[in-house]
Amino acid sequence: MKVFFLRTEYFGATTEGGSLAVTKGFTDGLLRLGHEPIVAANRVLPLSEKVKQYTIPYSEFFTNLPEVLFFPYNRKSFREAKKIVEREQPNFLYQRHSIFNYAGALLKRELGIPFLLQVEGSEVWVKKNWGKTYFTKALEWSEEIQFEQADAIIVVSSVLKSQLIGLGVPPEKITVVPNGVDAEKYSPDISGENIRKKFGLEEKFVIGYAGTFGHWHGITVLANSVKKIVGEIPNAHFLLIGDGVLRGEVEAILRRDSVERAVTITGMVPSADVPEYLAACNALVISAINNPDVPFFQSPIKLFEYMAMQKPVIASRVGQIQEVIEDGVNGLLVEENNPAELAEKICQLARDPALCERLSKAARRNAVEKYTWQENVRAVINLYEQLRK
Amino acid sequence: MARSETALLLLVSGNGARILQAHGFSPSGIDVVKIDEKNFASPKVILRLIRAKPYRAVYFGCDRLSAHRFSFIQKAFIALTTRRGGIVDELGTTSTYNFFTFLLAETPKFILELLVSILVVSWFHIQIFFDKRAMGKARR
Repeated sequence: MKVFFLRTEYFGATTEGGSLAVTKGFTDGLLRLGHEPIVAANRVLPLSEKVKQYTIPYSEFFTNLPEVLFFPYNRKSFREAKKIVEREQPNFLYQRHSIFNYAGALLKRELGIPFLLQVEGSEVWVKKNWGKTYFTKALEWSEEIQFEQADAIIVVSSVLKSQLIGLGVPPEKITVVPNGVDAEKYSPDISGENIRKKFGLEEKFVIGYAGTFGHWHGITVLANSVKKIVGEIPNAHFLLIGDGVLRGEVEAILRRDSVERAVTITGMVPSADVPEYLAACNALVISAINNPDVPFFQSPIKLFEYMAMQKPVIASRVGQIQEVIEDGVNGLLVEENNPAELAEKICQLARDPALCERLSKAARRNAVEKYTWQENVRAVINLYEQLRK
Repeated sequence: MARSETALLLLVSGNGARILQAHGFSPSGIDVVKIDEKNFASPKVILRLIRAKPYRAVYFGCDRLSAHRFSFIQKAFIALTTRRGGIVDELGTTSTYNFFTFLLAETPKFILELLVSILVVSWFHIQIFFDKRAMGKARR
């Protein structure tokens, strides 16, 4: 089956991050299941050589004013994608929802191609809460057109499904398909010894965190838990893999608590190296917190990566995380925004190697059975097959 | 206030260590602060960071200069503060701040972009108004 993956978001020269992980994971999943992915994006992406790629670049003229560059891109991406559809004759279009873009809706109207829209969040909500929006009405309208015209909407969590229903999208149109993991790339067979040597962590109980230092990631909650953990487990060390706007705040907390020496912040590392960094850890943390006015609606890829690495996971009891992690079975859950409880659970793991082993094995088993990219692709293909009936 | 020997790197994207290495900056002589593109909408935040110390120069860091946005605004921040610095990327490329280039080349280009943007924004709103009537449904 030929699947046309249309990625219209602007991402400059960024080669890392969740958005790219989704594109790579989904296209790899298609290949593994014997399908033929065709990708169009604003530049060539680091994907498998077997993926046929087209580029639809953004204008280089509109670079200084926010949001303006998206406006001409809407029609341009539609025109270019139309040529690709006519040439490649894919079975269906799979577009990642992005701001001010309704190329998928235009393609469906003009060519009648089945249109599946993948949504990781309402862009209206995201821009209002995490960014800044200047053309709110146009943003709402473009989202409305996409939601209306899509044959099916794939959301990453049940919380997000409720949010879209609240926006007036019919529930029967929405299917929940969580993000996934490449369980071969993220595997317990990977050694973390080089990383442990590099940072002098050979004798340490290493607690890892991988991801953006952003607001919903709760990285400051983890930083606030360090002092208590180091007080109880003297050989504890934190490996924070990533960077972001809250890095300064994290460093200030560590300085205030005089625990800088117990923490290594690596900065951004290439995604290909992340499994090795995770392998160097004894336990992995997701200290995510709820969003300001809606519950945590994301599907954090790092949760599935942690599980696939066969590591004990300590995670906040929010959104999809509490649906995936069963407390005491394949991980430990803690109340969100509670550094004291987080510290307590990390100490519990440090003192109980048998518990670590039991949780991590169950986590790996769970990830391989339910949360690989192949499973994600299977769900999308099944949905398309149902639409054809 | 006398200028210090320290420079400031405001990291918009990319890896700070790689940028320092590519440009031969000594980590001890430069403060690296991670910022977000959306911070440019709050000039006070950027100005506060730049004026935190009497920096000798201000650099904005990114992964690839060719795909970098808001260059004019960043040069304007440099023009308003240290008047030394530029935009640097992980590949070792620099777009150095120069008063005359800023005034005679970059400012007119920015004004042109502004004027064309007004047309583009207006045209998009006309298009989406009709597209919404044809393809959308009043929901909010």
